[in-house]
Amino acid sequence: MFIVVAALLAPLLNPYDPATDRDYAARLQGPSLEHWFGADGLGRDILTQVWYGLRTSLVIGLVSVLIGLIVGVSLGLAAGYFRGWSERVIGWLTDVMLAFPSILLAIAVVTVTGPSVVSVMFAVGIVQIPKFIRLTRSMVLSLREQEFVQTVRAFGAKPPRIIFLHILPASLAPLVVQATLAIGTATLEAAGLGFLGLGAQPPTPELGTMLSDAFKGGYSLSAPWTIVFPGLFITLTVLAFNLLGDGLRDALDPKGSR
Amino acid sequence: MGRYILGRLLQLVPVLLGISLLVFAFLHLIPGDPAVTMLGDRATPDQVEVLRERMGLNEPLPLQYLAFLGNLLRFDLGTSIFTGVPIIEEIRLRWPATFELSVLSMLIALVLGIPIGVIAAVRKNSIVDNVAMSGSLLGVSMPVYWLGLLLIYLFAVNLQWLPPSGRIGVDVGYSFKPITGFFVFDALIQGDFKALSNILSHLLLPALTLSTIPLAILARITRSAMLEVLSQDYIRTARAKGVLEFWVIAKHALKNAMLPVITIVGLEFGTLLGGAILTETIFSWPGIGKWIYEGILLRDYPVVQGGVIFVAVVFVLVNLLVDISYAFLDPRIQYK
Repeated sequence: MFIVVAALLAPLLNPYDPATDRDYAARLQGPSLEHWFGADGLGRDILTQVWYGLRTSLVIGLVSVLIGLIVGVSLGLAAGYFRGWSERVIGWLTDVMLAFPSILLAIAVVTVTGPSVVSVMFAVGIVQIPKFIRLTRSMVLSLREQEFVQTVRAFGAKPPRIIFLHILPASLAPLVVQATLAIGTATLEAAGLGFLGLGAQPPTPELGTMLSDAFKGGYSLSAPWTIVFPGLFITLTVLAFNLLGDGLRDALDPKGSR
Repeated sequence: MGRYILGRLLQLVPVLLGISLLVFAFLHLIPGDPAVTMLGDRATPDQVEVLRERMGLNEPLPLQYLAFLGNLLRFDLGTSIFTGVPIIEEIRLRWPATFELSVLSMLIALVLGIPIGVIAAVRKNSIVDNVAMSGSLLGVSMPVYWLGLLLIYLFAVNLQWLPPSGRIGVDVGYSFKPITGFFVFDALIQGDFKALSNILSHLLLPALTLSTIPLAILARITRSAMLEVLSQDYIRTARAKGVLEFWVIAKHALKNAMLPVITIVGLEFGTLLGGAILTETIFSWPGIGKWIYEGILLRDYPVVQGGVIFVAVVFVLVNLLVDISYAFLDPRIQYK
């Protein structure tokens, strides 16, 4: 399983020689020896575009999940540990955010910040927050009543110490699994924003934007390679993170997998 | 039971308030003067001022929010800047398209997803199980709009079996008279089977596309719920009593495995009813999702505001129905 993931990711992370040259003569040419994945509407090599687009997508996926993870876990810890009004406010915020379809919430954020790679990271990151809040809170709720936490508390440990030295490490495994799976979802959402024209702006290559260019340029159906390869690599990336997440869950779950 | 439903309804109030507050805040966070954006760069300051006054933009923010909330309570979502049609009317016109698409997608997902999940659970670790689970993983990993484009390429462009976009063909649409806006229903009650087959052929590709995610999730959830139930004592008892394996699975196991499945059905259906922005866009499906997206592109703020609120409220209400349905399905759940 891990080998599959490694094999999928290794070539993706390999730096490829930049070749953003346009070859207008090759415009919309099908796959050939010269251009393995064909060329797009501006005569750009699709393989090179996909390569660089993947890097953009991966960076967006990682950074946005990091944003969601840091904010979500902090709020979840606060809600679960301190209970009371902080739990109620954070719980309300989570409910409200989850009432919006994630792509719509992300679009709303990008509308405010303007389309760019950084906006997409923020937008997709914000969408991830409620999921991490819920997960962290539920784990803290069960952990805070357990004996080892009660013991350190009895010894007079202060809340920050209990939270960061005892509760957080104990809840790390499910968080890592959730984060890995979230990278997959984040990549999909980022590509969706790109497809709507709200993602990376040219000339930054991004997989969703490539699909959007082909669709809006009207050559997605006459030159199918312009959509097949970018979409395929989005799928492979997301699949790799989903497989990794599932694998981690099986490996980290002491009760064994179902 | 009645008190439980009432309690859940009351719990909705803060969430609905939150939704309205969030939408209001977002629209005011968008950089630039909405009046200028709506009128374009060539508007005179006087024109801008008139629109600002008409939209109440000169009032203090809390007052603007209260006015907005008051309008919401009267189902007054304003009018579209570009069409001049009231938002509530626009929603009424477009929602049937989204509704029909959601229902068919969900049907496809249910009819395929639950049996696949059951078979995968019963034949755990077999080839069938592995293929089904790999397939479902692929289903949730794919950008659906990409799958939609591939389906259009294959079935509409290459094989020419199905139309690539729209709700009804131009020739049929000319003579077809919609009554309720739910085209399938309208064609049925008028006995117009030529239109019906045309409408269904238009529905099929977007519905298939949209069903992939719920289908994949349903198959996985059904499988894991069935595995959980199949390991219970009462299943062993039923088997020991000599109940046929088919009935053990169909009657004893499946019924009890349905609770988590229903949660997912509710969540997914709630999402579908809100309109699929990406799928509706690639299939030119005249539903809520495409309408909101066009509203965003045109900066038609009332459309975006009304559309987003509508989508969120539908989602919340569908989930309320799911919660209430629990009480009927599982008498063990106690409600205070």
